[in-house]
Amino acid sequence: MYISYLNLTNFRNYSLLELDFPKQHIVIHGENAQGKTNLLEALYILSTTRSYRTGNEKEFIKWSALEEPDSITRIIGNFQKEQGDIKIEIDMHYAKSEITQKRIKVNDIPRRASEVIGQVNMVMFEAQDCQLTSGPAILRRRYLDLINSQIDHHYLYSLQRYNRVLTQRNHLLRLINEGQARADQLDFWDNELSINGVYLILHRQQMINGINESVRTIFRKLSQNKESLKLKYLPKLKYDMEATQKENEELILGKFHKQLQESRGREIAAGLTLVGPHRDDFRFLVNDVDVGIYGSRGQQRITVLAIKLAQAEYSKKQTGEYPIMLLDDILSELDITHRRQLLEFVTSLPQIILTTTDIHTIEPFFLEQSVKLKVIQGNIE
Amino acid sequence: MNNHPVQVAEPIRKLIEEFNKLPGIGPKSAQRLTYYLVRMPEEHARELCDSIIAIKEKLVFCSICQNISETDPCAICQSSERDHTLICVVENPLDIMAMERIRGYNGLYHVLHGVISPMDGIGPDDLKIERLLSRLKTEDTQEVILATNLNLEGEATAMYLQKLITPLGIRVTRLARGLPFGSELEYADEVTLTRALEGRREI
Repeated sequence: MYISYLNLTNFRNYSLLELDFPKQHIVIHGENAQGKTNLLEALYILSTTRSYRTGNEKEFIKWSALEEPDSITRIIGNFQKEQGDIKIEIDMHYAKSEITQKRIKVNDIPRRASEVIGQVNMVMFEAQDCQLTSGPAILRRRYLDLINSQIDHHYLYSLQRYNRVLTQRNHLLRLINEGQARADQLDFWDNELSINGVYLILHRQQMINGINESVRTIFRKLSQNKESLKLKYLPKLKYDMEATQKENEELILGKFHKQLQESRGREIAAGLTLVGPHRDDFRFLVNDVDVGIYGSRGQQRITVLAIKLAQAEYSKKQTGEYPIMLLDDILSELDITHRRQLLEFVTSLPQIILTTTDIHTIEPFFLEQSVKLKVIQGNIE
Repeated sequence: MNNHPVQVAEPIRKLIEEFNKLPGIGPKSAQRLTYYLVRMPEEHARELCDSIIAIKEKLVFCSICQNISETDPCAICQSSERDHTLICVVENPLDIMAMERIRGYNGLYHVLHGVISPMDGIGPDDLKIERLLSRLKTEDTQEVILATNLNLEGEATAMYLQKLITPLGIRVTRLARGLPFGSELEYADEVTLTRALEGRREI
């Protein structure tokens, strides 16, 4: 898959930008604060309908456009996929500096955000991602959930439903605690929580198995054959690796119900759901040692790099198509050997889009296959 | 920009504000409606006012089905031509309008006026569930159709009702879920298609 056309209107520091892309890698270069990352962000929004940088979508609107009446912030992208071309458009209307309407269209037909996720898959790698190994568990869950949502629409559905049940159930627990509701009203929510939760647990494990298949080889190469990397899933509800999917479904469902029963008193007292995959974690083990705790920063960076490359492989295996890879100023953080290895790895993928402040840090063999775009103050040269 | 206050006649400003409070009407539409009314003949404006007042003064809740009605009991509950052994349970009065539009349903209704939603502080006791149960005990009901929406809260409510009604020995059914009529398989989302497959039936 690759992007063939991008159009930005009043997005961040771009007033109007129109770009055609050939089926090639793209190197975006330029000095700091010119708008390189904004381009990657726009692409990422087309893929997921949301930004990885901010939850406040007001930031998307170009400052000078905020005061203009009836103006609009718009991102349009055309993508060439094996099953045919696809056009994604995201419009944001605003009044008095507030976004009043966000509309998403796929091939000019209005769609919900959940229908867009999975249409155009991308793997993003940026400096903040190094926190994946050592940061709080919620970062890892979010990462896991995004990968699965992109390749399995039912996963996204179960996740949204699970989160909604969680909110409702937590409120109900508080009402019961205050004596305003009865404990038997929990039955429906317990049932929904466990059915959707089991789907999440099983598919998280499945994805981790899938990523582990390719991450081992990738990490071996990156670490000069010395070390082995493995993802380990730590579900709150234990899993039987030897059993079949069907057996596990029943096994985990049974355990889920049992634990909900056992912890009901504690949950009512806390006003919080304490059992379930919303509290899961997974860890990165290098030679069986947790790299998030004991690894150096350099080692953590290589770990995340290997995971992201394995994610591209996994996505290809599941959907039949390689995702577009976005690398935001990553090369400057790698030593020369790893920089070269990364570029050699990704060069065979359909399209890599990377940003850099210094184009000379990029190996000539990669530059030869790339389109070079220079960004100066919201314009492309 | 100057700092003079915008000079708008007080009655106009007030009406714009009132329209703006209505659902689905933003500041622009509120202005448009207001200036449209300014040019409207006075008798039309009076008719509009009377209609608004009438829905506040002349409408009551039917003491049987809880629907909004001019009479108590409502026309549907009073009708001898309708099937009094069948009750369709809906979330709000608008759902009755939708059901009546199909003209194929000849039973009675019961309006819950909401659904169970703990995050909004709405529990079973806030809905017209007690009234429904007392109806089922006194009326000759054979079947209850649960027609709450097919979202999480609608299903929570349907499940709750089913548990209460089944022990009374009354048949409980739920509206089918699946593909919308006239839709194409190719464009159906996967979840809908999965549900439709699960709910398939012999022809």
